Amino acid sequence: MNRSITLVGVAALIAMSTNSFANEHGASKARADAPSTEVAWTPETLALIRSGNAQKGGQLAHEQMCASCHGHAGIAQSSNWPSLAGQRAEYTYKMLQDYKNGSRNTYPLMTVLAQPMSDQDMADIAAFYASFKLPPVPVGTPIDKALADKAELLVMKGDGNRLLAPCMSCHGYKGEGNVIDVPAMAGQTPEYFIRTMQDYKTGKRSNDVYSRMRLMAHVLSDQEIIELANYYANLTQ
Amino acid sequence: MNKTITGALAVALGFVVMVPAAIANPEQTANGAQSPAAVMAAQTCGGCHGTMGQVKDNAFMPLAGMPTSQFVLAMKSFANGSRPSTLMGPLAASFSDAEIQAMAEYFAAIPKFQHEANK
Amino acid sequence: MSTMNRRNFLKFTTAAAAATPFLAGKSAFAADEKHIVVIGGGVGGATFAKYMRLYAPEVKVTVIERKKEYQRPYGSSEIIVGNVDMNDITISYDALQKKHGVNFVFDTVTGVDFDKREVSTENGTKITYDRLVVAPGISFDYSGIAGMDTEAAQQAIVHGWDAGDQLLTLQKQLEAVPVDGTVVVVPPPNPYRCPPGPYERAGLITQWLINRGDKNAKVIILDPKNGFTTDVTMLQAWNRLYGFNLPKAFEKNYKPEQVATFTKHETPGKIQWVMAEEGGRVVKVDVAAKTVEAEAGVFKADMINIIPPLKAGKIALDLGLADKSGWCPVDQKTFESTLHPLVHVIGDACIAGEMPKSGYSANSQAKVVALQIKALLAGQPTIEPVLQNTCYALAGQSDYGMFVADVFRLKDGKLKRADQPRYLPFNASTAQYRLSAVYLHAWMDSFTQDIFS
Ligand SMILES: Cc1cc2nc3c(=O)[nH]c(=O)nc-3n(C[C@H](O)[C@H](O)[C@H](O)COP(=O)(O)OP(=O)(O)OC[C@H]3O[C@@H](n4cnc5c(N)ncnc54)[C@H](O)[C@@H]3O)c2cc1C
Repeated sequence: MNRSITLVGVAALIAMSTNSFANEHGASKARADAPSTEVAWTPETLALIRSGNAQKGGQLAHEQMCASCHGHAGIAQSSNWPSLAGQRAEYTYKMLQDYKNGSRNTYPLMTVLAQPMSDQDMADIAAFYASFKLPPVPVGTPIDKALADKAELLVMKGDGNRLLAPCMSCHGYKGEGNVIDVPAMAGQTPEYFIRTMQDYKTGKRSNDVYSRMRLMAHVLSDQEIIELANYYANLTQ
Repeated sequence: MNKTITGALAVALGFVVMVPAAIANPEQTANGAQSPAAVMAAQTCGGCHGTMGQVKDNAFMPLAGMPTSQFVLAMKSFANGSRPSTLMGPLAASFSDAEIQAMAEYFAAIPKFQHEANK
Repeated sequence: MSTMNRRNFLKFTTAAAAATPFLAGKSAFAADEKHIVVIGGGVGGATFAKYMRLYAPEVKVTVIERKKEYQRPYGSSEIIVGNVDMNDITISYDALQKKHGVNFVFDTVTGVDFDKREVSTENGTKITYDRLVVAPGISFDYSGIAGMDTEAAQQAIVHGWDAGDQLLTLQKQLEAVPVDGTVVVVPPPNPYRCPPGPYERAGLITQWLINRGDKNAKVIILDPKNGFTTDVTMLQAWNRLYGFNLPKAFEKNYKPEQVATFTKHETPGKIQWVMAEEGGRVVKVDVAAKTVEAEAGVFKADMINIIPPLKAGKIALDLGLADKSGWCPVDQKTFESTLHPLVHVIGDACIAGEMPKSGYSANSQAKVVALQIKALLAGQPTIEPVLQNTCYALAGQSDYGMFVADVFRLKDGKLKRADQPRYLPFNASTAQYRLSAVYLHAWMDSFTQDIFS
């Protein structure tokens, strides 16, 4: 009950503030009238993603050198880049499309890699990463358990005063993600997590439909973002 | 006009912009504690990965603050080709185990370049 | 004093006055403080100054540089084809002064009294040093090319190899090339600054002409050499992109099965490389007629870009730091001149074994010298050096990149390349070319940060 109220609140907030949010942030200003993504969840697109061939995707990932940053089995080789193992295929597919057409312009290198990919290539690569289990706690990066614990309240209950929905209401109790394109975050590398949230917070990243992550990140403090990064890095299946 | 200016005199005359050498920024202090051989090996990375690995561009991996084991693993897997790369493969293969270890320790001891907002 | 000099003078006075509060502290300029003077605030000199202060904050460093802002030569061919503008390649010395405490004197060095350890400048300033670092870059030698030895000829046919307004001249000359015109590019003999550079420039010009819509424009490279750094990957790229046919005499540099992968283009390509063996060496230029005479014959062009043979920067020659090769011999461990003690020469001007003359080399050498000078000042042994070079280059198309990368170590007193592959493999994937181009552009920024901020 509590949860649905919060969600309604969030929806209202989204409706009210999308424009002003975009305007006060330089990065999104330039693209204020551009849609946040060009991917529409039509039955055809969803069918294409379902048809993704993980084996072909693995071959493509090899040719595109994805493993250099994301690891051979989708587990990032360093704290800086995201793990992709176990990620929802729809999310990976949408990111590749968003990179290709510039909706996600936070990282030019990925745009360059996505440009030559066809829709089918993207579906195959998405299927490849979705075929792995979600990553374990990132190795090599110390996770601060005390910081992680502090995030639990936000994750489980949110903060009604700030119209913050609990993270788990969308991203799942175990950080496993949700239909259609809500990403899994369990075991995600903390530095990548922090950078992503900061990019949402400042509006530098704006490929979230209805600004839903920008609105959340906007009201989170920098400290809370760090706590959440530790929480999700430490959350494994 | 022919003037002989040395050190302090130059300042007094005001011909040269002088900043006192004694004022060191935090980066300077961070280098003092390192072994010369480690500093020597690590300097070769700076041209791409930033001064002391604190690069401010996200195409290159920031090395500052990277855990030692992660650095060593990265270099070894670049060198043996198990981690695909453009040029890191041949470069990593050109360094000895001892140099890689020294670089790893150097970068692990340098503070990470922080996202502006997280400072 | 000219107006300009008076303005500089006033600026120094004000800046020094503003800094006065700091100077009150007793340790600011202790009598025994070591003073390193640097000639030239380019890649070598600026990197040295920053890293000397980083490694040994107790040492005072003064850079004498003739220009108030630096224009980087690296990446500067992209000016000619309009990918970047002059602002993009212009860099301020502010951070070196304010953040790193490097002193700057904006003036031209005219002499050094090695006995008194004293540098003198055009404006009459004299500055003494404990050690001197000389990094003046390059100068140009037109004596071997008939027709190019006059001032007028050198203004009509420019090199654009040291940044500056010559790049804009080249840009205008390229724009004035008629549709389906011909451009001749003449690379210098070895050794020279930025080994892949002239070929990258030829590729960029080819791509520019194609983008403009020219179907039959031609870029002809007349070369005094039979090969160049990154040649095997560059020629492969041109074969793919510009209908380039591999010269017969060059085939021996590939394996037969690699040669077999080259396309044989029916119509001659948009870019042509006349290597030395096939008569590429230029003997004479007629500026008025716009013709270049090479051993292979006379080439008529709408635009000519000649990069003449290079030498060490003029001041290094004037100071007697160079040998008869025109470059400065140094002890390759410390880069201390073998001709004058307490003087280190770095960057393009020095002879550094197998290291190429590049920005990355100059940067790496500067850091090594900072470490060695720190050790020498402290009376400690110098350190076994490790150096690196990485040069990225574009084939012409802005998403097709390549590189050369090497690590150097001292062996029998000379800097030698580690024996490892240095280029992209022949069968590199599309992703590798595309990524190399991304890294090239990212490198321009991260490298500039490493030197100047
Ligand atoms: C088109 C092009 C592309 C290039 N691309 C790359 C690349 O991709 N990668 C790479 O690594 N390198 C590249 N380079 C090479 C690189 O720019 C040079 O190797 C590098 O600049 C050399 O540094 P330096 O310090 O020796 O000389 P410079 O950078 O030329 O600095 C010399 C400085 O000394 C000053 N000076 C000279 N004489 C005096 C005097 N008497 N008094 C006071 N000041 C003086 C000059 O004003 C200048 O600022 C490229 C070069 C060109 C031309």
